[in-house]
Amino acid sequence: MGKLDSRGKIVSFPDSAGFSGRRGPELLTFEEALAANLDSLYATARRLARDPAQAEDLVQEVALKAYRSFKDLRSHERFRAWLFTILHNTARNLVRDASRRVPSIDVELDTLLDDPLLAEPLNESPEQQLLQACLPEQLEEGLNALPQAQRTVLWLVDVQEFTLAEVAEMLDIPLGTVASRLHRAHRALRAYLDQGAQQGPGPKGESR
Amino acid sequence: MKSECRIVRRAVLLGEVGSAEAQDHLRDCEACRAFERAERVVARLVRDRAAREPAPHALRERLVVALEAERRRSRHWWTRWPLLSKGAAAALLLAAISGGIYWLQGVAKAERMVEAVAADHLELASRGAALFTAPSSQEMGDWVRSKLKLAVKVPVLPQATLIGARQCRLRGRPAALIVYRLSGPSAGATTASLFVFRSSGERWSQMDTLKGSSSKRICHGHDRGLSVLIWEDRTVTYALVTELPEAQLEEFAKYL
Repeated sequence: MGKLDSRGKIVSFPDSAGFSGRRGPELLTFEEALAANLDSLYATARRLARDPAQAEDLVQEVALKAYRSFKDLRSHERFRAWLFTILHNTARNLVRDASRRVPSIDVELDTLLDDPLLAEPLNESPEQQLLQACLPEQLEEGLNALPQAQRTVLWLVDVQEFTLAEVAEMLDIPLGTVASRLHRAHRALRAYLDQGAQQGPGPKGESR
Repeated sequence: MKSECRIVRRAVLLGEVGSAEAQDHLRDCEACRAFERAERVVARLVRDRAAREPAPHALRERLVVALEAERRRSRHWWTRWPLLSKGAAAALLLAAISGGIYWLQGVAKAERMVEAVAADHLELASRGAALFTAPSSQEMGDWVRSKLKLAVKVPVLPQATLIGARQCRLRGRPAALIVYRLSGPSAGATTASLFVFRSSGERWSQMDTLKGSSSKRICHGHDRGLSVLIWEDRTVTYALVTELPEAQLEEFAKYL
């Protein structure tokens, strides 16, 4: 049985059998690498799952899958992206929550750039005003109003700070599609928050 | 939209605005600068303020237990070395198939040997042959053992007279034939032929077992209207061929 520190963080496991022979001392054990990413993994699972219980199931499933194939991971520098790839692949099968899924229609990046609206600057509030006026609840509502596909890309790039290329590989979609989804998510969220700042919270925003 | 703006906005969306050309354009174009800033502001807002729930303590405990259980499970060799386990399974399958083939071959060999001894018995009865004779079963045994280099025991059968013996071949294998004349009330003037030879993988188990046998397992078969009793003693196989009915054979079996 492993040990937990005072904050409940996994700090050690009985051994790292099966890994030690193939890695140098500077590399983490699986448990160390998992513990270092567990909070962000769970937070992402919460965005994908219906409720906390389903998110916990999802994380456990991901942890076990990752444990079984950790020995095959060639570069431990890729551990985090690899772990999140497993998370999204597992979530596709495990999470069946249609209510959270707003349909999303992908628009190619070049098509998006041809959109005349892009030539028009957003009727945006000044940056400082937006940052001051945005309440956490409004931001959550705005995020939840986004189509799942856009929300996922937004979360992975803006919050988890993966590169567009990493997200493209993780979700197995073209790089241009990642960029397109991210931009549309930004635009929809900005529109939602600007409207909310003027009219109060409510389910608005771009739907596609 | 001007083509320069399009190129730079594409670079903004792909996160590739590091080039000198893109930076020059952003410095000179207010619309593209606003576009780039709008992206950056929302991204920063999300990064700084989106809720991130930490993993619950209960989940950490669950993971410790689940991973430990997985570790124990993976210690089993067949999961740690799946190729080896597949190889072992293949070897077992091959062994099972080989064993099955060997077993079937043994059964077929036994059936052919029953046919051979019955045929030889009938041939001997029809044309006769010169036999080695001896005054006792002991001396007869010495002669057979010397010829076959096998630990043959010549049985003393009830109401039967030992006539003689000779060497022969059964399906190409060296053997000896010991001939008895049966003199019981139901035997008439028939003979019994006892063939002895080295055991060689015959599977007699498919044959019936004779009731009333002594400690030996005596198998009972039929061919050409004859009864064939088969038993093995160490490396020697004995095959007794007679025309006696099964009831008398059971009496015979007590002496074998």
